[in-house]
Amino acid sequence: MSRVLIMLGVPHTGIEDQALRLAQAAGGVYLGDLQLSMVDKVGHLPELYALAQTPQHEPLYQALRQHLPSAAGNPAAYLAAHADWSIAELQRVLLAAIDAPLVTITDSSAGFRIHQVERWFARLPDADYLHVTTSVARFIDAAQLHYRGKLYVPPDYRDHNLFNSAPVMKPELAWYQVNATLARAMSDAWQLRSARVDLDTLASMTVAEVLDRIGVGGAPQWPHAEPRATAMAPTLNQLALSLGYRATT
Amino acid sequence: MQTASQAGTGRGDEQGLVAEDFRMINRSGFGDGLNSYTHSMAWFQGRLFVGTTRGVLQMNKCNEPMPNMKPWPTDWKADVYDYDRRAEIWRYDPADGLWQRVYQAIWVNDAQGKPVPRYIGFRGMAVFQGASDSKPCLYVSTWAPARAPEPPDILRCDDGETFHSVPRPPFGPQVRSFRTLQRFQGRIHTTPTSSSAVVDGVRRAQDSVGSESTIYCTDDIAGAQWTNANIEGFGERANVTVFEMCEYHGRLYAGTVNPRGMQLWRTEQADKPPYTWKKVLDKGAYRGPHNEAVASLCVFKGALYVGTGIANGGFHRQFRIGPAASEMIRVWPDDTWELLAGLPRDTPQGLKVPLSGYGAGFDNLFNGYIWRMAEHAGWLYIGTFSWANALPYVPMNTWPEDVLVLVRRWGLDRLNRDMGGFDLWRTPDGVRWECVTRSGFNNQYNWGVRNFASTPHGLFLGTANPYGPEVCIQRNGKWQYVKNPRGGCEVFLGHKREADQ
Repeated sequence: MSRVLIMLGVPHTGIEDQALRLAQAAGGVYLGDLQLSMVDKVGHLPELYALAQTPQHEPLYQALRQHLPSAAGNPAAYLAAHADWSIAELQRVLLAAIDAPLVTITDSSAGFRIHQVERWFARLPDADYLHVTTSVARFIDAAQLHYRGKLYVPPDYRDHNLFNSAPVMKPELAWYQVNATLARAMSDAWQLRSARVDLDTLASMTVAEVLDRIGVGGAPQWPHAEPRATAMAPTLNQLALSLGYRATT
Repeated sequence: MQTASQAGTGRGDEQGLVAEDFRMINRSGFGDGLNSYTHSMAWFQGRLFVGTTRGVLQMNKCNEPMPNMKPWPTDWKADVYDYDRRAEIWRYDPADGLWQRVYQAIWVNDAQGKPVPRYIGFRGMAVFQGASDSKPCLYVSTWAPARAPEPPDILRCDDGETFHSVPRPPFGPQVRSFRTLQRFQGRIHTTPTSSSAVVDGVRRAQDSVGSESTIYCTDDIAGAQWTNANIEGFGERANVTVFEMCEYHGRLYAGTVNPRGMQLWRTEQADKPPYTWKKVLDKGAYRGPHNEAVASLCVFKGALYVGTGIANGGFHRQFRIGPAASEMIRVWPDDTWELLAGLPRDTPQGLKVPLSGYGAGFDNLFNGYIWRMAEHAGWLYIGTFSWANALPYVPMNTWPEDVLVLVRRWGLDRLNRDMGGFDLWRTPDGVRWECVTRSGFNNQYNWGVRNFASTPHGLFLGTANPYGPEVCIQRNGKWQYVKNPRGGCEVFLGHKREADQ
């Protein structure tokens, strides 16, 4: 079975590019931004796709076409035929069909909600997890570009009301929310293999260096002598302070 | 009241209840669609007691300001007093699975000598043993209609069969209902919830704003020795109502309705009334008017959970607040607080982002308040009020364009079918939430979870469903009123099926 690397972080910052680069460098496969953490059952995917404003089904359909011969002709029909499967079962079947040294996966929505992050942990406890951070300025630029001119933004970003102007969530708060959620989730799941790395640093790292950072490949620091929570928990306030906000009491 | 946690029902508890674990044990308002709300619920002497409020949408049609809905969603009459709105109390015995109506409000004469119900609703229940009670009794807070000659009083029951009124606190004449009956340090506490006045023949009512914001307490309800437990509005005029109370960490907590944003207060000294109080949350936890009210409070695993809302279903027309969705907050004994679901923001207590990742209303604009919460077998369950079911009757021409885009995309029918009813969520820790239902258990007319009762037999859940007896629907492009078989309050019992075996 392939080594699986799940890369999570703030959306629209280029994590996908790095996931593709690492997979290619290792002779492996980048499966894409599969958006599988939002639901538990395969049967719930059609509703998710119907409600979405962007074609969220494409990465999964593409992965099924490329790697699962029985689904290649009609991914939608394949999913419909296996509507009673759990997403974990679908992931297991899909990953079992791939014969590659490394499979990388990204999920741009998971970082907003801790239960989505933990779905990944529960479904793939043997995977390697990378929390990819970016500077807040980079995310603000990316977010403004991405959301400018779009009528719809997800509920996280907007508070609806009739009489006041509808404020869009400040990008730095979204940045904080994702990074704080991922830091908390990975601290709680200290038994998993995980690490945090800055996107700019990641861009210059080899696959071996990434895996070494995570603690695999015979690196002497694995398994960790201390729970990661010790090292990561204080960073929540550091994140807030880095934005110029007061420390959370 | 013993909860299932205390009783230790055990099997299957660690999994929590899912939608399939709930079965309906009452439908269509106990056979009368005019029974809109299971407005109160209590476990007493091994049986479940449910108090109803009747004709809610029929009554709203006569309010000023009237909700802007066309056509009116239910049948209605120009004079709401032409309906029989005498509130009822029903009793459910788990041993035989049978319901029995044990009380119906009497008729009294209004100022013109016309018969009107003494009570149109029962908004709260509590089991309490006062100084002159020989055993724990069931006490019921009431709702008197605007034309009833007297403000509401309290019903007392000591045998599970008969109910008698006992003197009310010294409410002013405009008080029409009260809901909370909160035990604390051997006393029971209550406060007015709604007020009403008929001006030039027009009923000006506020169902969730009382004419005074005083907490009254007594150690003997039957003896009627009521005393003030706070100064009016905690000394702030904007606290127009004390809406909810809860005992937590040896203190009494009280949440307000405040058009600038709710406040949460707790006692510092409560040996004898009036107590000294300390403010814990201000300005709607710094969200402002969109957290107008503390709608629900519940203690769970060492923290106090606070559900917020905007009065009148998430859109307080009289105060021009909303629509906006509710938030979930939790408070710790040292007065620190966390945002669990809601709008990220900077506050004097630091940056607050929702720990669950969910936005306001659990990412559902239509969840106007988190109406009720309960702990059951190690899980916290929260039920919302959702107004998505009113969409077919609401003029949307003034809505923000982005909301309209969403509504058009999802489709009104689909929204109503899939999200028209209340949300029910559960969590083992306040951070990780799982949805039990987003459709009011597949009934779009169940617009809210109005009550829970955690019992050794399972988790009872009572709904608010005002879409009866008749509902206005569109057939062949024409609106018409038809009998609604799913209109009227419903009651569900949730427990793990394997526990039966």
